[in-house]
Amino acid sequence: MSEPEHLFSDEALVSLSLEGDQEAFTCLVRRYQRRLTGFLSQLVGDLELARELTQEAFLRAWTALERYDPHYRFSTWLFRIAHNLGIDQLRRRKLTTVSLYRTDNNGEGMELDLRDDGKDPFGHLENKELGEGLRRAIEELRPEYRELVLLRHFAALSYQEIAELKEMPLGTVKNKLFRAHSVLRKGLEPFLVRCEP
Amino acid sequence: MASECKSIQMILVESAGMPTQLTATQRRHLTTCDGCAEVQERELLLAGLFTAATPKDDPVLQQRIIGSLPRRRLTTKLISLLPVVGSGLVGAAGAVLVGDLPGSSLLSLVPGVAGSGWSAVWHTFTDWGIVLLTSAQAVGGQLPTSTTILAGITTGIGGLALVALVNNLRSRVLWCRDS
Repeated sequence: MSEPEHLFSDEALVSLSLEGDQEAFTCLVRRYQRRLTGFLSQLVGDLELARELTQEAFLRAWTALERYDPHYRFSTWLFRIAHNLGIDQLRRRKLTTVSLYRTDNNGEGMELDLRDDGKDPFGHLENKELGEGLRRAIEELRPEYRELVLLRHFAALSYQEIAELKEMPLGTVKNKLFRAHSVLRKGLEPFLVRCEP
Repeated sequence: MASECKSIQMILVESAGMPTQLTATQRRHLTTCDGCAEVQERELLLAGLFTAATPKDDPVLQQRIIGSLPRRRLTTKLISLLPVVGSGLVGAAGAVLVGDLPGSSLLSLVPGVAGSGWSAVWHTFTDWGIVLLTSAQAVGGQLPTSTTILAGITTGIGGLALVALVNNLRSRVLWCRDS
């Protein structure tokens, strides 16, 4: 493969991979790693675990490549593998989304549970308040909205890809994301301020 | 919310605040509707927040992933071709062994291989070849030539069709399993 990798579609890279061109699969890894890790870190709430799951997802994709059906988008197939891995992990560890904020017995007082930056999905943000705000806003979403938001903004899937992955009509995806965004805009209002020069 | 506002705001949510997908009429509406203009502004900022919140490329992780991939085995691919090759050989053997057929003269054109030499190869390598040889000669002597040709062609096509069908069903079943 001598041409720049951005010239190759996902399906073309898959075909080359099946012919034994590992460099082609490397391109797919480079293309999707960030999005997979971003999505999984939000899904399982642990960045280091998300890295492991990302590796596992690519390994499964590599070993199951002959079974990939080109009638479906490669991104949909890959994120379906990753999504199933994430859900399995949550079930296995019986993890629940833990709110960052705690209250005392009177319902007052807020205590920040500062997570290890290496595990915190938002640990890379310099603005810690922003990370906390995003985490709270996403956690407060209804589960069906939360998943779509993760697929849209962290997996960076198009509406069509989300509809394929979730086997949901495109119109339903649009409506749910519209409602989710209405909630997010309210929840993140303090951060949605344009800085005046 | 007016239906026009909702339509525009849905487009703005999908496009992360960018007005590129709006019609000229819808863009004019944006300049006059404070509600829609505010949604556009906030969606632009929200998109920025999500971009900042997404982890960056991780070259170390990418190398780890690539290094962990097992070598793809070619034997599986070769084994899957065996039915196709086998069907083709059955059809070719039928054409060669029956006698005065175009197939046999074609095969005799293969450098160093004559009709009888080809039969000797079959005898040598497989018992299956011996049985097939004997049976084909017996059948060829009893049936009309056209029937024998048709049987050979049908065998070949049937084998190829079976392989294609199995591969198609196999990929569909396993796709569902992946989900």
